[in-house]
Amino acid sequence: MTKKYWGKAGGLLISLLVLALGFLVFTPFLFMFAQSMRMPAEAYKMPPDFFPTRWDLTNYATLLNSDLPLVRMAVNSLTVTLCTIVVRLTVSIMAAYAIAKIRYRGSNAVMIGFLSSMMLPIQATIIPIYIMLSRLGLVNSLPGLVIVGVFDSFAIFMLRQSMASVPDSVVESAKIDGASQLRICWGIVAPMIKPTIATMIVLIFNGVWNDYFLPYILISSWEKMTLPLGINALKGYMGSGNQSVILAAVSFAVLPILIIFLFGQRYIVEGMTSAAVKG
Amino acid sequence: MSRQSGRMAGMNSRRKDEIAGWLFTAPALLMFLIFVLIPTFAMLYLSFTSYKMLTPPTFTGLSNFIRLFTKDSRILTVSLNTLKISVISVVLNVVIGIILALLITNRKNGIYSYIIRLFYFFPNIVAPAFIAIVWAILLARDTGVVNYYLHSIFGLQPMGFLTEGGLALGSVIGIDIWRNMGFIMFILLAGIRAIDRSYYEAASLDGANTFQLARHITIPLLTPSILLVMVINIIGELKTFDIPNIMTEGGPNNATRTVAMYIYDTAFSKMSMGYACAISVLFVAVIMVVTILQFRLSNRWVNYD
Repeated sequence: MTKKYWGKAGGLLISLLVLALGFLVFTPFLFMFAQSMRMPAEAYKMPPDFFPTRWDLTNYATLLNSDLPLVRMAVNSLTVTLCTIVVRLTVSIMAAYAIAKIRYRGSNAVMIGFLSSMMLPIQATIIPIYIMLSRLGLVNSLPGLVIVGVFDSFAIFMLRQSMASVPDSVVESAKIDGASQLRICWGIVAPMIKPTIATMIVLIFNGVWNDYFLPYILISSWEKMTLPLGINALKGYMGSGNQSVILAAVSFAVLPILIIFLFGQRYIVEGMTSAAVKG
Repeated sequence: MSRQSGRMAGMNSRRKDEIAGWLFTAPALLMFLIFVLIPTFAMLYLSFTSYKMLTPPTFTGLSNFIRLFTKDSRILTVSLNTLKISVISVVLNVVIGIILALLITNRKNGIYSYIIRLFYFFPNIVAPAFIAIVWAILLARDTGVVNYYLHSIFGLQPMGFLTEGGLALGSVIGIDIWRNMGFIMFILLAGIRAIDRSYYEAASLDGANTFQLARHITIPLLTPSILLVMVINIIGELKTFDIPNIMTEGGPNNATRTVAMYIYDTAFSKMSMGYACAISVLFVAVIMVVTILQFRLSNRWVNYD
């Protein structure tokens, strides 16, 4: 009886410890947000804030009223991310459907070829890609960023795996009813794998929205930068004197993500972890 | 007659399917060709040349590779840095992940899970480029919060977390551990919760305590997912670029420069595209070995299940 009682109390204590450690893990974001409310003059005053001592949006106003195109960068990030999601998913769903359900001669070889590209990180092939894009006039342009990100072997692989679980009889009976392949793909099979498509949207959003490497190589002018690149360029531009303003810029970019995460976190965490295991 | 026309129709639809199949795959295939296959062969070709982008590449045989393996002392430094970042962060992350997952596996309260997910997983979905800015401010030598608390609580003198060689690499590793902690913890948590309860019940009847259960049941049964998580994350870590590039710019004195940063620097700052491609070839070779390992392991993992 006492043993059980202690076991329960110990369990509660451990849970609280894990929670406290978690709070510590999260403090950099609290610091970022609270410090963004400080006046630039007292940015370095110790001790630091972890909760806003007053709600002062001066730094945010400074940023938005300056010549620095922060809003433009946010629009760029959103445009590139949404375009990549739409184009990459369209191309990947079509390819996955053909490989999983049409199974034409050579489709297995195509899938193996696609999968082998997982061994070729963009950091290694970026030099020829850069040379090619500069010849095509796509360097320093948002379409250039999107087009490099269209092909995604992982997305094709995940979608194919998911479509393989759709029974062939569904496809066959639709064919007998006279449906075209295009119609079977988009009207029947794609709606049946909605959860996988939703997971892919989360993964692509996360990957493209957070990407720094590709914009860093391809984009050079302020008004074409995405947020991760632009805010870092801004940091260099303003020097280290304006810590609270820089933290306001980072908060401006991170808060929308936090809000999305607060609402969809269960889904996002499950999507991201299950995709990693299945891949 | 009717049988023959039926077969004809069958063949016809079969051929239509073949064409549809290729048409459906064509966009992906085209992008694969332009952004994967051609760049890969171009990278291989350029690795045997000297190329500065302004003039056409000139063939130089194996000289890039000879320089890479015999004369370049930086490649050893950056490879070791990358290896240290990958191995240390992944091993520590797995240890921390197992402990955390074991500690909360029986807590299924909705609000508790929600807060735990928020605290531990959020660092993983914020852009590394932003994380680098925030941590650079936190870790600054004279104005940073970390040094402030180390001094006020432990009386320590300010440390150059980003400016002293070993410490700077340690900071990069520490931030990677912080970022990936939640991700690995939740993968392992799912693995633990998928283990059949009857194993535990049988062992409990035999008088096994909590530690023995973890040691003799959970961890052995979790090995496949542990291996898988390690390999996936090592591949990610081998590509490390954003955080050291922003926080330390590879310094001090190359102490935090990674292979990806070295390729970038050689190609776009020094404009030695040919030599940078030779480094890329080496880089791809390493990634290939690790990826093949991953496929082997995940095959085994699927069979276990």
